[in-house]
Amino acid sequence: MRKIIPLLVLCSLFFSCSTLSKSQTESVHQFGEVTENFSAYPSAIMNELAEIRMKRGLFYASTLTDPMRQLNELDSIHSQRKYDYKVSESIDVTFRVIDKYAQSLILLSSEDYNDNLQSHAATMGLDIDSLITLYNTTDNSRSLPTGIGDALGNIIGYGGDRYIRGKQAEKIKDFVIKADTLIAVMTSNLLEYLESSNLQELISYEENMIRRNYLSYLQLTKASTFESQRDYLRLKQNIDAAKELRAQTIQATTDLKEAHNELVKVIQKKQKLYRTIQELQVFYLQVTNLRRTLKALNEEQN
Amino acid sequence: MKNKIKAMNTEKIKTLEKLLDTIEIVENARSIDGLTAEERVQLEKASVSLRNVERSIIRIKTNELVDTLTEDAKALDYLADEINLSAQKLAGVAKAIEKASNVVKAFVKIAAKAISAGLV
Repeated sequence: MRKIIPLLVLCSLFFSCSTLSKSQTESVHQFGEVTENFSAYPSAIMNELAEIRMKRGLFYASTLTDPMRQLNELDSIHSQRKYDYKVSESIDVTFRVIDKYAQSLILLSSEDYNDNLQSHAATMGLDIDSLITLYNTTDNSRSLPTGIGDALGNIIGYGGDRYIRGKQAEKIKDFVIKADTLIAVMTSNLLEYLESSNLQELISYEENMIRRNYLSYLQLTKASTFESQRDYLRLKQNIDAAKELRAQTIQATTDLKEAHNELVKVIQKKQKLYRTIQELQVFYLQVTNLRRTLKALNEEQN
Repeated sequence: MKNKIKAMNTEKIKTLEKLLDTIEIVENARSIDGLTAEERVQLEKASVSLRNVERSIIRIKTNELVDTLTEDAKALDYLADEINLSAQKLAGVAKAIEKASNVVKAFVKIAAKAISAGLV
């Protein structure tokens, strides 16, 4: 016992050199939590465009006088919608890997490992004390001192805690640094996609076609109803939302890249964080805006 | 008009903007009063053809968009798997202490029984 205690203390000192401060680990955890559903935002733009395309297509289909042509047009609208959602799904799958990385960071930076360890070590200490008490009830010439189990439990808890924190810090540093280049590449790809002239052209085209199709509907069917007017206005709101989603996702993607980069810098420093990472806060605010926009869109569609 | 539309294909119409101009012309023509039945049918057919061209261009443009998203996701995916594995190993440390704690607990039970039975 006398040899084990200094050994455990030495081990704990060794591991304590490589640990991250609680605030540093919390920053990694926060980053994971803000990022874990990021893939939903790029694909939401394509989903929105798919819905607009279908609904403005219905205005157009109503203008066709030949039943067969109208039916074929409706079939084509349906087929296009299926295709649009397939594309959206492939975009979602590509960026779901960012979610997976974020969820892994949440798991790795969890406090649960230490909490579980402390609870088991305390139980073990109590059990050892019970054992000593039992031993002392037997007819022995020398009684053993009680309370040692509690001390041993504390040492195991402390040593284990330092060991886990050391390993946790080592792995967090290793993975976050490795991931930084990958996050940079993926966010650049996403920005290229979001800022491409193709996407801007698709959005702009839908905006024009909402108006064009409704005009054809009014001119050729002569059926301006309250419902159709309301549908037209909703489509205009939807295209505004798609534009806003695009702008917000561009900003959030830029913020994600910067927040991760700052996270790498922060965990490489051997010091406590006395402030929250500003880039992480900015990123969080942007993601909150995106969530709000998406929620409003979902509520409107339901 | 019909022949002109037939001649159009997705390669010739490079942008949706140009297509929009053509759609405008056809749709405005369709709404003119006094068209003959035949003219109306031909314009409607032309209009539908333009919508098919539109869908082809949209598909080309969305495919090009998806192509900009490269294979880099695979590397990050692999790293995320590695992180999960490390997290499992960390959980293993607490599990090992739990096992040791259970062994002591079982030993206490056995010792208590042995003492009460007068074996020790």
